[in-house]
Amino acid sequence: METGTIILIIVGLYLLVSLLTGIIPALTISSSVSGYVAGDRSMNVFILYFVIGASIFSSFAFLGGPGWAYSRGAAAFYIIAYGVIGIVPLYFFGPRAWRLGKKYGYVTQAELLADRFDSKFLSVMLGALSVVVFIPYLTLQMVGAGYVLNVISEGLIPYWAGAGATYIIVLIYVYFSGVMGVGWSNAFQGMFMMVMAWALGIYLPYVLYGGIGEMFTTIMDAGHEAMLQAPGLTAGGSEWNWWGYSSAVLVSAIGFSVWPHFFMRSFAAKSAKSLRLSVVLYPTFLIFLVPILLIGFSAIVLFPDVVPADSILPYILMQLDLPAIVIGLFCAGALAASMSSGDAILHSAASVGVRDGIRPLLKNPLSDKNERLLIQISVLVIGLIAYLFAVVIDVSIVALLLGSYGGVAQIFPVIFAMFYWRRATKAGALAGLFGGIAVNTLFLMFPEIKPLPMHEGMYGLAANVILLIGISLVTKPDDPERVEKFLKSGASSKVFRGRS
Amino acid sequence: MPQQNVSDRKHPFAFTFRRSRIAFVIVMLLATIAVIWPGYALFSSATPLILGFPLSFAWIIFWVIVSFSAMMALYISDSNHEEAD
Repeated sequence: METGTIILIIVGLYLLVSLLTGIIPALTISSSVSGYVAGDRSMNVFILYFVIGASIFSSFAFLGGPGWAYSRGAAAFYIIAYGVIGIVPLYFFGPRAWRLGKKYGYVTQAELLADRFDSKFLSVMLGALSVVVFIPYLTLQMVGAGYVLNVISEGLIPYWAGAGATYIIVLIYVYFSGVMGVGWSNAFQGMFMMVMAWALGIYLPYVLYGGIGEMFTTIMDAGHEAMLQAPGLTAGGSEWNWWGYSSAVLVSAIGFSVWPHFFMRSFAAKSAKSLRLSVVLYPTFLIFLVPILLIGFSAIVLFPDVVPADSILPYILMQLDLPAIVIGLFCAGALAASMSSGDAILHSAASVGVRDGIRPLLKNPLSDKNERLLIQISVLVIGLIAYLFAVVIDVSIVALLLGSYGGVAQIFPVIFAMFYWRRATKAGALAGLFGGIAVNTLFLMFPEIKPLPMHEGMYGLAANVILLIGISLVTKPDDPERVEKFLKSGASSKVFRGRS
Repeated sequence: MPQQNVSDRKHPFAFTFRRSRIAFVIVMLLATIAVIWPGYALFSSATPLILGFPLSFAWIIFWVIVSFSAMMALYISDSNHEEAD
């Protein structure tokens, strides 16, 4: 059989299985908004584990990870470093959000915040901002899918057709099944990708250099030792500084647990305990980034000067004369990376946009049925907008997404205050959140005015915390009854129960 | 359950709910310092190779394992101290 045909058959089979795993299990979920957005709070550890893990399984990890290792060396360890600390807050926030959600029916992050700080404005703004950030994020996932299919098929599949075909599958299962479709398809895609990453990450160093140690020795002997020394290189090839590296790790770690599409999965858990266990197991997913980075390192000596660096993985595959079946499997793996993030983002953008952005503005409340329908229609509309951006992509979209990391991190202080600080007030929260976003945006647009070469998100966070604390302390405390509901959302201890 | 209060007093070093959380937060603060400056700066060189990995890479992997162990320990401790819901 011809190489192209084999690849197409494997990719087609993969897409079919993705569609089936996305549609079938969701048939058991109720047709309510809670069923669509939070899976009737029924996700077990197995599904949650993959849903949480899918956050790193993106086109960025599969293409950008090797690209960073290839062009920036040790700077790529940053991706692993921030995951280690970034997941921890979810262990504490997640179960609290889950208990409140179960008791009061919340299904999104902004609903919690809007209730604690008694502000419709907060909800609408967070809803709108989330959609603005999610669309370029989704676009990049589509670009990744179209790009890989195009390169691997040697132009046989045009870029627009690859991205389009992949995301029609995603649209179908997200439209019909909501979060359960996302969950089950992520479990399939996640397992598939883990196997592909480990196989390739260990295979390449052995076949090209004779082993992992031999590979790194060769890299150093070829005069690239500076690359392997932390914190690695900048995108321009000069040495990265500790200010830049450390602040990038901190901002990404702080923002990690409060990304709205990530945080809201807490509401889908079956129990607080299963949510916790899934968070605890998350580092096993981080380890999956190790072989991904090894792929990038394996190309430093053998394939110098490949541009853009993000294309290094498909480039290596094309150079190695691998059997068609392996290339086909890899193609499917790259699509799995794109789809497992893309579906979650698409689902969240529609859910958050309607529930937090539009619903609070309506005079007459929506019926549950209409709200679900509106979310489903939004899935189609948002998918279409992202696709249009994908086929006419320019650099500004990438810049918009990179700029959003510092902005998302600004949600962290208000989430923390919601659960742990009685004295935080509505005025303090609004001032902190939007002051932080404003400062972040200012330094993003004018990097030359930064006093130190730190990530702009750090300046935003500093302003955020000062405003949150300062304004809260000079304003009247919020209604204690409402505040207590959030503070008391921690688990009840057996010992404390004995005392009361 | 009053017996548990008594047993807490009997074992001053027992891992109570509060103590295990404090211990966990300390380990994670250490992990944070370890993967950024200044902790990482001390272990930032490419050599020696550890199990084939450059020191800078092995150090980060080591902290993934440490934080995984710490989270697992906290999870087990919490499961023993909290009521299920």
